[in-house]
Amino acid sequence: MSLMVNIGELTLKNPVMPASGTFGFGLEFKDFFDLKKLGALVVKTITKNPRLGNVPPRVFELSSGLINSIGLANPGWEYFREKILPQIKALHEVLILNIAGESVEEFVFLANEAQKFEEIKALELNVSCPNVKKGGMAFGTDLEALKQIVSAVRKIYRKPIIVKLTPNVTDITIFAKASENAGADALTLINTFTGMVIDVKNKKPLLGNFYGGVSGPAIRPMAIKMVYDCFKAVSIPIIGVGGIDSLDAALEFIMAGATAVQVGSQNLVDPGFLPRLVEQLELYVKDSALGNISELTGIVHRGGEG
Amino acid sequence: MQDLKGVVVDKQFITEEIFKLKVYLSEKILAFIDPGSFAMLKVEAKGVYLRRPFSFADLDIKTGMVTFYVKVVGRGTKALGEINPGQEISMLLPLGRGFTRRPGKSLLIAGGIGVAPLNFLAKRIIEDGGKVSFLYGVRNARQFIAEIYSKFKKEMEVYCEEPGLGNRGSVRDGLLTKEIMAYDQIYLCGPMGMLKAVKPILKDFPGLIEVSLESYMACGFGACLGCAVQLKNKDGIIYKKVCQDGPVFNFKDVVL
Repeated sequence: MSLMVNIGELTLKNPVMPASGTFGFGLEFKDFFDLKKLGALVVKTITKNPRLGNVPPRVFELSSGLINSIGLANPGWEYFREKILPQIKALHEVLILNIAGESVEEFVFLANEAQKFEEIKALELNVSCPNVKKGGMAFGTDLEALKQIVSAVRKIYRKPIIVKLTPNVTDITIFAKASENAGADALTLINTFTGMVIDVKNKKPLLGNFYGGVSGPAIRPMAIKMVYDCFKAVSIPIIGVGGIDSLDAALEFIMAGATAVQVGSQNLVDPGFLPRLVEQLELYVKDSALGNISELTGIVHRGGEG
Repeated sequence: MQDLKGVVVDKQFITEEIFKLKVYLSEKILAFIDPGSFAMLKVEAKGVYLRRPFSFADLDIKTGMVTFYVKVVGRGTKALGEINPGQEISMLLPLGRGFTRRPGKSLLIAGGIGVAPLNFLAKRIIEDGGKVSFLYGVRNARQFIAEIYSKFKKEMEVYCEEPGLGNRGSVRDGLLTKEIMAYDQIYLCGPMGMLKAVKPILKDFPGLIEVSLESYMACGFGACLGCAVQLKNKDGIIYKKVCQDGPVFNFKDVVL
């Protein structure tokens, strides 16, 4: 009985990790539980230069999730390297650095820098943030730009590269295949859906940035389908994310084709959810008499059971 | 910071739109709760996804009881108003940075439900041996928490925009009657309109002025960066997290 999974050359003790942007740098959660219980630690997106982020209001509740326009607010690589990395490297042995850039050069710069640090075990390329004007989702919806970024990072980065794709495209499998062909070791599917909410009383957009990214259980069926479709299209591992708020939701992703899962919005409302999910997966695997959780990966493609 | 289960001991609507919630908590956590800090309460109801932030309005160490005053403004607070004594409620607490208490004379300026954290602050200031003057402004009687007024009758002046309650007018009108330089520090909590209205009057005040801010908030403990507020410092405009860097800020730094 094992929850161990492989993402490229990375071996994770279990398939559960936080989604970037919903877990801070991990420090915010260390009072709630021992982060070593997770498969990996994925930190908030880091850019080359500090970013203030978008004008407030930045979040708004939906009936089954939320919409946000944080705008990749972060202190920038230098501050991260000097002040944050030394604090978080002890939190988990598998640290995945999520990076974003306004140009191919910025991605390459960050990959080069990250390579110098043994404690950073993999990169997750954020080519899919819907809330920034330069880079962000623009790269994830432009096939050529996506190929250029992944290829350029691949040339210089020797550890696993995970590409986090946006769902805001007509056919995500094209972008999944392009990422694989350009050298990605894994995919994270999916980032948030673009959306908008209006303050009816004041007759204006509710978010300061007008648009935001929709997350939470509301987007789960769409995310599951995208994982299902991409599982058929690529042979690299998929990390499924989008509205996981229960064991069954995590299993849905795995059965659709995910090797591992990320939890996003649920961390914000239930900071102890991630370690409980690991425990529930352990029990499930034990009770199901599975050798390894990965036996379930993509099972619905094989007609399921019973 | 912990995720705890509290037990609702009492819930009472004290006006048409405000209810008081008393929750029993573990004794150990109570020592860490200061005026200005808050809790994120989980509302178990259909269509309510995020927790809701509420400032502590009172705390009784002996009985293990914390008090919140909740104004019903949307589906979350409406659903919370339906909770019954005996029910458990999941709470993240204590969160945020509270007020800086200093000796001497303090002027407290509250607008609407902003009186809740200032009630707790006033109690602690008096326990510390300090003196308070309290300005409490409401739009109408539905916003007026009589039980807070009855506790601070001697120190409190009430301003109401509709006739029939206290002095007619706003907190700003009340502030104009005060000799503000007679105070050592000033604390505020209230709606943005009130904060904007009183800012010019307080601009030359040399002492500490602190304000407790509200914001849309997803997590409450610094993970999402959703509750950013604009402040100004020597470098220009910066963003701070209401949940973690605040909710109490230096009033002079806040961009209104």
